[in-house]
Amino acid sequence: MEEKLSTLDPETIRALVRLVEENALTELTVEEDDFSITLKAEGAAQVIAAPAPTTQPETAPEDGLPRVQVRAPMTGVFYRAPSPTEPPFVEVGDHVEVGQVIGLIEAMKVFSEVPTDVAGRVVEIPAKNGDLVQQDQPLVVLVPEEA
Amino acid sequence: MSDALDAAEITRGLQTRWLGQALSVKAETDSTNSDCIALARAGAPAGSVVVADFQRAGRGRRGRQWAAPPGAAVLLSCLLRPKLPASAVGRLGMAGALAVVGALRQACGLEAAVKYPNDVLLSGRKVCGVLPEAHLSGGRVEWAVLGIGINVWPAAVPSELAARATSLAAHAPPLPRNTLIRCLLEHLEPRLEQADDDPEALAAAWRPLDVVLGRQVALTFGSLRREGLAADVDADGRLLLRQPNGAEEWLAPAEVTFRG
Repeated sequence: MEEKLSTLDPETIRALVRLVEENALTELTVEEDDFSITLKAEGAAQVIAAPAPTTQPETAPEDGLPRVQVRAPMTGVFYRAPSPTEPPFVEVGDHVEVGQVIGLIEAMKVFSEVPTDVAGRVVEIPAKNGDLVQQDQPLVVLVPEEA
Repeated sequence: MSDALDAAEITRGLQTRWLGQALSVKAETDSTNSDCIALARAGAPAGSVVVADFQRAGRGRRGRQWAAPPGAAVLLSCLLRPKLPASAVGRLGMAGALAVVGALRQACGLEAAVKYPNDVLLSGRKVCGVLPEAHLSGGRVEWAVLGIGINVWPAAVPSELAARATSLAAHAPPLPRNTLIRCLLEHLEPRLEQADDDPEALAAAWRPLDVVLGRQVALTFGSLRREGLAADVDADGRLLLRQPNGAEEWLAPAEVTFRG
């Protein structure tokens, strides 16, 4: 048991704390054999997790149709609508054109419109309104329009 | 004293090369930012400026209303086509706030402060708000609109905000708005060029003016909140937050409030 504890030295724990903070995780559990450590962020109920960006530019899901992800060009807060009282820029099922705005990202009080550079049909919106998104995180998933 | 806005008066002797060389003044409009966004989409040149005496649907962050009666404020927006990566878009708000500080110093003899990310304060109260909006393409800023609203007369400050906001007239003798706008454009052009070409100079000008630095603050990112010491600002406009455990992070929050 003591041997296993020594694998989680203070430096490792500090690295895990950084991992939780940098990715805005609410909770992180690391298990190794019969030893485990759980880190919980303070005020976790307010925290929305921002998953690490995927490196896959396209995915091939079960239906066999290609997918294209519109990704966050910068880290910031994602908004699906121009203002809280207006409808979202896009919904699942919508057809989008090249250059069409799919959402806003706010950083440093600057609101930036994020357009898609691919036309297609929206099949998934993995980023939620008000989420802190990391650069390159998928915001909207499209089935691209056939040429 | 007449304080009517007049395009010819604003541009008379205007010492800028590209900012405000195309300038329109409107008695009223929905929002000068919306007007500039329409100009951007229509292909108008960088540096186009819209000034209004009254905004029917003036807005701040996320649909917050910005309402000032006619004649009480300076309301202007500029169309920009900066050479910025998306991650550096925060420099635009800093450039706007620093330009207002420079203009208030030169035109009114007032020493204003800034509050991260882009407010301007007189005696600790907000006298100016900056609302930048950008359109990104391929990870870069394709165009941006920088809206600036300055409370000139006390009527611009709603009574419910009197404890947190102020006007120029409460601190200095009245100055024609045309003169103030001309002075602001002359300070803004070099700051915007710094945002593009010399962001370290922008950050260096910012640091001694920012009331947030060295203070315990809470940062808000949507529903996420972080607390710590605001330790520094970098050339991309990010804030360095030092947490009680010593951990440091560079962050780009929209809202910063003081703790304690």
